[in-house]
Amino acid sequence: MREELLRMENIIWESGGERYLDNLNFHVISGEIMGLIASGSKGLGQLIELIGHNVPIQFGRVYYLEKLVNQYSYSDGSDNRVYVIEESSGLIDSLSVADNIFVLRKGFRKYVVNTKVLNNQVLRMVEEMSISIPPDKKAADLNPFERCVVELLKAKMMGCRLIILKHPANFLGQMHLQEFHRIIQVCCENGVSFIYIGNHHQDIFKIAHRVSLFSDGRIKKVFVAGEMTDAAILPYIISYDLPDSGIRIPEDEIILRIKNFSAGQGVMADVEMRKGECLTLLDPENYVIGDLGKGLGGQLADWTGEVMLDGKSLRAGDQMFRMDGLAVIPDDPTETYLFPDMNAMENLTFLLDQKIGKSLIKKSYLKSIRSEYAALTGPCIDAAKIGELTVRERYSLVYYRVHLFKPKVAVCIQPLAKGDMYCRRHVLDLIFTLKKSGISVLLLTNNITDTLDVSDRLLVLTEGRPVTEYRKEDFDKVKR
Amino acid sequence: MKKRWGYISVRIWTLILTLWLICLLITISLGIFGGNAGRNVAWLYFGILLLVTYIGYRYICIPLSETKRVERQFAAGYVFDDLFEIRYPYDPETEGVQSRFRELLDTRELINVSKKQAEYLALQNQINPHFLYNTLEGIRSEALIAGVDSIAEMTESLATFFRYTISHVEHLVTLEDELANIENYYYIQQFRFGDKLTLSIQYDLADMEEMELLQCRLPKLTLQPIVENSIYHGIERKIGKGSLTIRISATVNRLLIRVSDDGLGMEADVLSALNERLKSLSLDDVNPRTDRQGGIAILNVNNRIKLLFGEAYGIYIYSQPGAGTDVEITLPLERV
Repeated sequence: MREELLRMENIIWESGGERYLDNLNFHVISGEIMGLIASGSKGLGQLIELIGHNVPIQFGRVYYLEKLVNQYSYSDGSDNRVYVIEESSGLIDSLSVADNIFVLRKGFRKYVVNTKVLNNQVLRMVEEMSISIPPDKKAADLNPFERCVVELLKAKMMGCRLIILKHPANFLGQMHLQEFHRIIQVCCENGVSFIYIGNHHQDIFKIAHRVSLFSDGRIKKVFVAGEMTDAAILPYIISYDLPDSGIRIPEDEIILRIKNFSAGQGVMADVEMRKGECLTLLDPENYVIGDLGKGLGGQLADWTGEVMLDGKSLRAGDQMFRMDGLAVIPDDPTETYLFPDMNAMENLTFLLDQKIGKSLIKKSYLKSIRSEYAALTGPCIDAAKIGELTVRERYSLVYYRVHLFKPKVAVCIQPLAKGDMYCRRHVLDLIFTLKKSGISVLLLTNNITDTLDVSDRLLVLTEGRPVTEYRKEDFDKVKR
Repeated sequence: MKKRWGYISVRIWTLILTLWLICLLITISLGIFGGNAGRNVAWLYFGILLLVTYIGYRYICIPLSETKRVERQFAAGYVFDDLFEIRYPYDPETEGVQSRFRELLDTRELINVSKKQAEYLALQNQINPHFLYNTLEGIRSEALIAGVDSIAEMTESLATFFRYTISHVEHLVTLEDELANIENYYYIQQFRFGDKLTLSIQYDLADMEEMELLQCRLPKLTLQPIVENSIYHGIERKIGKGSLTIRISATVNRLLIRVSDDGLGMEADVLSALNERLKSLSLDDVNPRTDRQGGIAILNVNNRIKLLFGEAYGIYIYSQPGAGTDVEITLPLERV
């Protein structure tokens, strides 16, 4: 009979006058993959923390391995044997794979480390998974897939029977993600359970045994086998349909041409983008778009190949984002694109002085910008500190800064990878706004879910080469 | 509520705090005015004071706050059993009072009251069961003589239904019996709804035999009120067809039953308020009132489960307007 690994009953968790978990019920069975889709992100971090650590709660009970570990009347602050695998590494970069798995765990009491024995054990473990990872490879040299596998092995060595996977689709390419799915299914057969957190139900429905929909601090619905369909989840999600009005038809003129771009790992063959177009480049293996995004953003000191923007050749080291050139929005713009020491208006008008060619921007210009964009961003435009803004408001600042700048091309790297459902819908609206204003938009992604709603054309890359092209009228043929 | 000084705890805490401050003052005075020798003594006293403070915090304040937390939740009506399982009672006399209180407040009495409420709901207008069965049998006979088999079948189903629900509400019956009652109830409802209503029962067996699962025990009339609610509130008012699904699964210690409908669903505020009432024993609804008969059925089922098995078990509801409702019933795995 199935053992219940985790059970949370009627959990209420409040902090700072805010209720993060509101009468939440959640349970995970041994050997299952429980999908968790957060339509709203409030409380998700607290849920993950509570699963791993027995922090004080205002009401409810938590059971781990059928044992009461936390309740409202008494929390001992102990940890449950739960491991979290996420985008940031949980390994020590300077240590080898074997050392990370064995030496750092509790209970390793040896004073002399027999590297050969540990390496052999690692080889046996990875062989069982039908993959190959050198045990003496440094953790810093592992690719994201290998790093995830090593962390999985580490979790198993630590005796963790519940592993939380936080948005693996955001940092693993499609091929690696499928391979990782195969591995976690093997682990499930050995009684390990997973909580698979993701944004896109299409991906999670394929892998999970059950899926919980989390919103506003509680579980709104648990989908079981047979219920995991697009039609079943439709009443719980918001529509991603964009208005038809105001769409600009792409022109024939080529605005951006990329030829044989390479920064060392992969080579990207010819890609052309037309003026006014929204082009999605889908690189399922994450072969080249990571480097391309960095190269176009000026973060790479050197790259080879040819990048032509409106007939002008761009070189490595060129400052792209100026005047009417190229704007690159990274995959976490709310953290890396905004300046916490500046207020909202300063962030919005950053580098505008270079655009208009004057060292000081007149107050009348700023007033005019403020009145124009206040209608779009809302009252957050007057915020003195952007730390006070919500995630949606920060996304608005990022995209409206680009909108104000009106570059020829805006490049968005993994625009829908982060954020909850409402946030992603908002980002789509913002990309649509850029497109309506005449800016050509290039979307770089390893997951096409939802980006097709705003795209005119999709190019699927394999090893950097565009192998399949889909026009808007053919998007229904695309397998999501 | 009493004025502050009416509480013994306030007087005790005030006294302790005053003594502590006096000790601290003496220690500081010794340190300032006592010269070298006095300073050394002051440090010693300070160390002892710190140690006593730590011991007091660790072994008195923390257990006391745990006990007060349970009392607060009991007073707010969120918990019941926990008051009698406090880990750190104030003194032996208080512990004795709680035991005695528990004996006086015999849960069997509460269960009986709750059962009576269930019987009352089932009895409707307090019809004599024998009179009812005899009358139904008479109707069935007449229908058979007249050759109207559908009426005969319907009457037989109704008689079976009443025989199960009106008879003495025992504590536990098998899941097989409860499901048989549901199927009978569904058969009766089909005369009214036709193919608008469909029912399916699904088993998530894992490594358990279906027969084994069906022999698990649960309180009588656990499922029927919930199914009735789903039909009345969810499917009846829906335009188009509606389906009811009962999913049964089990873990090592628990029996999980989920009754799902694809009806109208509930608004978020109504759902939230209902789940709030379901999370604890709701003794306020023990006195039935005819104007709230429909609303208290699910609370009654929840109460009976909690009274019989403890507050860790009961009902939780998931719902979305326009999508439907899932009622999740959690019971301990009780096998025959």
